[in-house]
Amino acid sequence: MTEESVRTLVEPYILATGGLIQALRRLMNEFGYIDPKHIPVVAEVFNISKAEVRGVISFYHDFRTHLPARTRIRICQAEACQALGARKLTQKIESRFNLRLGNMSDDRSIELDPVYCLGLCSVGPSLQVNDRLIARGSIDSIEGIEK
Amino acid sequence: MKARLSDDSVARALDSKSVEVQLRQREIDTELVGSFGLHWMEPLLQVSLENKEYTFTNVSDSKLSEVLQSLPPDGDPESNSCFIGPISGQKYLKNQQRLVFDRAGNVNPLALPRSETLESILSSEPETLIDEIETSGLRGRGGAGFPAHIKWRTVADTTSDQKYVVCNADEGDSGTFSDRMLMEADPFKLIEGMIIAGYATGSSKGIIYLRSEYPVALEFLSQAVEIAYSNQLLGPKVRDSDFRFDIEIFVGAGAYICGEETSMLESLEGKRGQIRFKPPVPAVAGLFGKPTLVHNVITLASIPGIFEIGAEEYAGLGLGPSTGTMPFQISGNVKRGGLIELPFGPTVRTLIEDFGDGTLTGRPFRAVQVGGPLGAYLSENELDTPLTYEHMEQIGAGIGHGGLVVFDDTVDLREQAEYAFEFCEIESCGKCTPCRIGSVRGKETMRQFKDGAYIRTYQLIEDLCEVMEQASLCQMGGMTPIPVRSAMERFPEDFGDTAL
Repeated sequence: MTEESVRTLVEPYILATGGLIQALRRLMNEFGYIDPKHIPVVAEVFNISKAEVRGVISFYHDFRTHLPARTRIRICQAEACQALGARKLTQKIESRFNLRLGNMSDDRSIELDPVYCLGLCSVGPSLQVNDRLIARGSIDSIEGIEK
Repeated sequence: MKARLSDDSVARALDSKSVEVQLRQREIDTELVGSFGLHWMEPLLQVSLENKEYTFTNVSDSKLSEVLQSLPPDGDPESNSCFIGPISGQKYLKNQQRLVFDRAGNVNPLALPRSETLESILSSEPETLIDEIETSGLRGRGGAGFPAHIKWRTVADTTSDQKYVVCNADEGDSGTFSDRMLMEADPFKLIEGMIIAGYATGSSKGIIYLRSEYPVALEFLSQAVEIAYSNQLLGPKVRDSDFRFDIEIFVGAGAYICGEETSMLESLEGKRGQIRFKPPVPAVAGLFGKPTLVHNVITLASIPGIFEIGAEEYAGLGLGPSTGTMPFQISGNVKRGGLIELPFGPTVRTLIEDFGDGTLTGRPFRAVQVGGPLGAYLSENELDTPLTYEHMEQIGAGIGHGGLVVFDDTVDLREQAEYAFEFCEIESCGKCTPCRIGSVRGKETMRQFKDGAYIRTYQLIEDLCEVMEQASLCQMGGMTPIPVRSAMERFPEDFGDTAL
């Protein structure tokens, strides 16, 4: 990805509402993460410092600066799901993949992440596997997903 | 034969899409509708056949063949285990009074409703609309319960070349999903509400700040906005009037604190979502320094209903100064989780027992958290408290966004109190010390109860709560002590015998 094409991706957002955030999301959608190499380009396009761009990236949970895993499993950790055993389910999923919440396997096949509410509180515990939402989640919901 | 299948986040998370595929393969005329909010029944399938309605619950692709075979003339629907009588006859729905969610479930969310009320509103004086809102007694549904008309009047009276209506759809509280449900089941209700608020306050631009955890809501909302533009509900001449109103959807990037209004405004300016000092309030200097009316989804979606039934009648609903209806949401460990819209004033017990039908696990009830992560934990003793702003305040609790999360007797309230601090640690914007450092210290100190240092630990937590409550800049740090203290006061046995 050349500097010029990154510039082309983010330039349309210069004057948009919350432009920097929209531009960063564009990069996330394009590459799956924000390559630290692209930060100076974004800073220059928006005429702000690199530190300001980094500050925004580090503030929001959605923005990540590392390559994503093939399968990302998000497990809701919030109260409504806790009330239906989210803590135990998290432990089961952790031991199934031998991976702690918030980490990625070395081969980048699986990533386990916490999420705080998917709005499916009445039918918890909730999970999200890549884009797919899962209600009444159990260890069986992730059957077939291999490391 | 015509089929109506529910389609929203909950239905999809329970695999409604594979039912839809099957229906289409069988070439059955299928319409996708919003959810009624009877979530334990999802996916919900309604079949009309020769002027009769048959409703089936928990339909899956594997059960669909049997469901269809049970239909007349050859079958007997009542013999099917998924069959229930007509949905309108369900006690859960019949015992509600829906003004905000009146269309939800009954309609295709993307079918443009014809609202005559809106046209008459756009030909009346903005000032009279604000008077109506004052008469209705509408208060913010997002948690703070601030009287809406004060914000409206402030924005209207502040002179500026540009004003904004910002809709807070950053519904981050666990146990709340009414915003999501409305945006997925009846997005036009929100759009109408924003238009009225914009017209009354002289704002031409609306922005919906939607959390990124709601991709399905984004899908419905974006399509609805597009349809609104192509039907002159939005744009330079709203419904042939001289009023211009635009709506833009902005998707957040994952930050609970952006549900706080000033933090949301920072985020809309493309910055870190750190809260701002107040004053000035957003109604005077908000987005890009311009007067900004910030309301939660349900507040805005309550507006069309007020004008439909009349402000005085609306004010007559509810209890005391808590007027109108509130979409309560019941979730967690409960058999019948879902959305219950009622005038303010039902008791917590009514919602948990009459509607919720007890715990899902069948174990005894132990605690309910009312109003999200910053809400109080209540015990059996407080269940007869009516759900109004005033009654909840009297017991040191709040109604928040109307969510009730039920726990059975396996819950450890010390663990929940520790989580309250932990959540604050994860989501604190970091601007003020009591919240940024207090949350971390609170979490660590909460763990010491495990080591048996009761009295000293209790005192430390109490001191810390006082500092956070008094000295935090916003409600994130200021209200984290609420779940903590309520857990310690009402469930001292979970913290050790001598905790109190």
